[in-house]
Amino acid sequence: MDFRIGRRPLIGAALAGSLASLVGCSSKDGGSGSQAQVHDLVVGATAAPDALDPSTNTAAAISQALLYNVYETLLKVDGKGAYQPLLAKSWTESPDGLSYTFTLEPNARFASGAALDASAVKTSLDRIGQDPTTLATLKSQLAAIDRVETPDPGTLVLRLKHPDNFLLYFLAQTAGIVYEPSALSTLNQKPAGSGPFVFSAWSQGESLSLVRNASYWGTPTKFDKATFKYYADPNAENAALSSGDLDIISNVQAPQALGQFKDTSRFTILDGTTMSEVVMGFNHSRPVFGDIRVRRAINYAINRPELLQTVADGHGRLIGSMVPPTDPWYEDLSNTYSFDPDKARSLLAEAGHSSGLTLALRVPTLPYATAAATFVTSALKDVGITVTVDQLDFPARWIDEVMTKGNYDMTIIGHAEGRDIVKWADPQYYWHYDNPAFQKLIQQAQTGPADEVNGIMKKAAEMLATDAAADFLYLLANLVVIRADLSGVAENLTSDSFDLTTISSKDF
Amino acid sequence: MRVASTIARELLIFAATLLVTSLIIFMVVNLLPGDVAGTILGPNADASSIAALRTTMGLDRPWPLRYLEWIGGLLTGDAGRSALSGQPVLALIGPKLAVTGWLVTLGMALAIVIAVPVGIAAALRRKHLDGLIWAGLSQLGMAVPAFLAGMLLVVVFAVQLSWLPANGYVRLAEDPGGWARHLVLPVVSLAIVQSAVLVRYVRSAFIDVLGEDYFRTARAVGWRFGSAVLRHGLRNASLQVLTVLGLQLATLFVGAIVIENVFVLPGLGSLLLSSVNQRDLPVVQTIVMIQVALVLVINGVVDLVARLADPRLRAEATEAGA
Amino acid sequence: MRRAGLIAGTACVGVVVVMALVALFWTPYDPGQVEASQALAQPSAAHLFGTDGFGRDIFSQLLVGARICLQVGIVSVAIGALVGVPLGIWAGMAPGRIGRAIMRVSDVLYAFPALLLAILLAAARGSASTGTAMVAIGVSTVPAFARVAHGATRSVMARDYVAAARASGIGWGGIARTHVLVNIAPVVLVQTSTSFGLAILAEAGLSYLGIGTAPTTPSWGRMLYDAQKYLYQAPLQLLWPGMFIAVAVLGFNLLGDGLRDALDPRLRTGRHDD
Repeated sequence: MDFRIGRRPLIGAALAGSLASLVGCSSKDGGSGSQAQVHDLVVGATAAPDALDPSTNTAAAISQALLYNVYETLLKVDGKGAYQPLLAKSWTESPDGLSYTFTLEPNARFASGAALDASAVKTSLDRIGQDPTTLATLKSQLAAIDRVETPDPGTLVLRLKHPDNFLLYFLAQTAGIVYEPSALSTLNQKPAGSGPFVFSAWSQGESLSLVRNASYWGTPTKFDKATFKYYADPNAENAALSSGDLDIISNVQAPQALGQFKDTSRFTILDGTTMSEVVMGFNHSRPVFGDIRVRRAINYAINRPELLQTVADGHGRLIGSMVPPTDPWYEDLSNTYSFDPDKARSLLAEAGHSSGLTLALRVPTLPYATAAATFVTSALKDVGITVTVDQLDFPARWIDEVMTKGNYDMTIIGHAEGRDIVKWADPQYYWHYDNPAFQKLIQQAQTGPADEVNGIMKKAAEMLATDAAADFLYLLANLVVIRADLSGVAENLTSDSFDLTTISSKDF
Repeated sequence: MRVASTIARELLIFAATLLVTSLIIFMVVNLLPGDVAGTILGPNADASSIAALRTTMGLDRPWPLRYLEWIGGLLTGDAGRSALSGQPVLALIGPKLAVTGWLVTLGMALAIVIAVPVGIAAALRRKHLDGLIWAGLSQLGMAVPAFLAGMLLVVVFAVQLSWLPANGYVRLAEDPGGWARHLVLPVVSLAIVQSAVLVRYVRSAFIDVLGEDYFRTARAVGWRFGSAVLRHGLRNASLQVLTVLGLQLATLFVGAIVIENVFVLPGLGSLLLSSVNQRDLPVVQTIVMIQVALVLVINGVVDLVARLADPRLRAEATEAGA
Repeated sequence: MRRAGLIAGTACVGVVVVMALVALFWTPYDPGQVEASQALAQPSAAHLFGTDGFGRDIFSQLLVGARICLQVGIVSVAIGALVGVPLGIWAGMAPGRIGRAIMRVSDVLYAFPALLLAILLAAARGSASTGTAMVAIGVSTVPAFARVAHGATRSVMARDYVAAARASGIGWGGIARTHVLVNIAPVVLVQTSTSFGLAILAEAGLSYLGIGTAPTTPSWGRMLYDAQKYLYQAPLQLLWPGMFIAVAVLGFNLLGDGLRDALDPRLRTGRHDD
């Protein structure tokens, strides 16, 4: 048969030509690390922001990229949980705990050049309290503020309705951001703050770029540019770092794949703590969970050390309650219910479920949640509880079904916000946990004498644990992988921010 | 004249179809439970602030009003704004459509380049070992999930050999070299699967052609085999293949999401998935509408080309139009 | 030689069917049983295909996965065929205008790929599951069945024996039953086989995107999704479900091709003359 394909152009030969040139490019362009003069930092992250104003949209990704980098607050929480000055040089608290006086940094300027004085801070704080579009969460965090006074441009006084021992913490987070007053109406498209970086470009779902603030009032950053790139698929993110497209992975979502970064000449792995407690929540409005024996039985039935091993490859911490180790009142409560399936079975029998019990576990479509669900289902089956698992689209559908409608028995999700133990004092919140003794403790800790806070909060955390208010599965690890020449990334996550301002390279 | 009136009639029906489809899409999308207010306010919001935000955003207005607003806007080239970010929907979709467009057209082009010669070889040599091997490879290519092929390519070419970036996208205008390098692996993964499907059609179309009278006549009057294959075989087989190709191309605009996901390409499919999850309905309904319109347009064009190219079908078409 | 494809296809499908049948009565372990201490065990006598990251027996999951694979195929193809074939026959037998209208509706439906339907359906149902995936895949195959049945019906209707049957006073229903159904059955059968393979692939794709089978259900697609994170550490995890998906799809495709070659008389003559 006379058949030679190569001799004659066929359909699509022109297209073939263009593809050949495409492949040609790839080999020529091999060494692309030649931009020696521009110091560019590329950070991989998983959740992409859908909007840019952290005061009106709840997406954690906004503050992750912008807080401390583009936006600044009066003070800042360091990696050990202590307060450090930022826009406020110093501050004092009145003996009765009813007012705070901040002395502002005299050199502080917005990136636009506008003055950052007491009235600018007042505008931002008042906006959280008074503007109806700002988030309810932020409003509640600053709810103790009665009025903001500005005796002179360099001094800010907060008058409180009642003492609030948590206020400084929240002032150091998203709620305390100082926005440029003239830019308030366009914050969703163009963030405007006073930090060492300036917002440059945003491609929704894809990346967010910052550039150096050339006129920064404090110590400038060494990087000319910083870009957050977003990856829905954790494996794709890992591959991007392996192949050199990223400098940092802000939080590794597939710890099982960490092995590929073992080469210490190329990468440094940080394995610290986040503030994100992975909680298997019970719906307390369901009669079955009104019985503490059932809640305890579930806690006894799950071997949490093994769960941590299989779900997160052993990275993360067992905490046993709603407090991360970076909080001053942390106490290891992980042994409150050691794995004991026999005890679980007898508790269930006592509660009248010896013939079996069926519970609906509705998890969001998040990798750690679905993985934990797999483990939990098997563990509970061993003690006679049949678990039906379904996954809900996150966020919209999960929020609708679980949070808003309360249409679930159990669910699994990480609570990333700092100091979120106070949520347990709200019976409206989706767990519908209504424990007056606990509510009273939180109230005391917030408004009582400052030196008693730690003791009271410890008690509160213990109460949640012994009451088996939920199954506190584990605390998500802060797994950060950075290029070996970089340093200054905090090991433990203690704020809403991925703080770029402390990062430096030993090469420049 | 007859052809012109046929085309005009078809266009009219096409427009009516699109309008009805848009209504269905709007209804389906707006019936989805859960809404964007919940996404914006997040897990800690209370019911009253969600209701308040719904009112500010106009989500509680009657649906016919919202439909007319959307469709009216679409006709004037304005699909409204994203409920989440406030960006114009078309400005949001444009760059994503470009990414998916490159991926799909380059992928399909490569698929054709692979599939046509392989398919012809498999048809001509179908009784020989090499022909069977080609056919078998095509079967295998069809049987492997596209994302699995993509992941394996990443492991080998990006992670092990470091020849190509593992994922991501660079705009053509910004850095043509980077653009090309980022597209190689996704285009190849897409082409592997699509060419496997195409080979099957090219092969069977050619087997059909080889049995036709005109082909045997051509050979009988002394055409060389190769010329006969190219002149007659290719032209006649291309019609069948074109139909399949059109259908594949059209569905891939959203269908390429699996490949986009593996290679983190900021394409249309990924935007659709995240917009659905967050109930950013203006974005969802517009993307669905674009996808559906694309399929209908490509179908229509392929149909038209087939009719114009085939005298039998052309006669039928004008008959129907008369 | 042609028979080789048919035999290979039958063998592949046979493997899947046997696995599914076995899974009805027996699996070596409970496929959902987590054994953390056994995580990522290599293939051995105790665990024929090793264990996954949770220490679950992969062989047991593969067996149950075969059942789910067939279930996905059967349900979605049944939806596609039961809706699409009558539509196609109707369009093929009805006078021109109505027939064209029906096919236009089918064309519009074609514009909604399985993936799009699955995303919307999962969103509407509140959660993705094997069920939503099956329905979405099924609905998306309706146009293909309608098209095939329509084309075949039209060519049957042009035959002399149909005219003869009409002349002898047999009604449309009778003709549909006695002539059309019988004559288009082979084409529909081929389409069934092809759609089966596509449905299996679609389920895998949907599960990979997290809009298919829910966790704790060991579908092969779900297994692939769970195995992704071990891509570097334990690539075998991806290989097993990937291999079985390929075997199943290959089987149904080969079966479809083989059936078409065997049933289509035109191809049979075409084969002898070069």
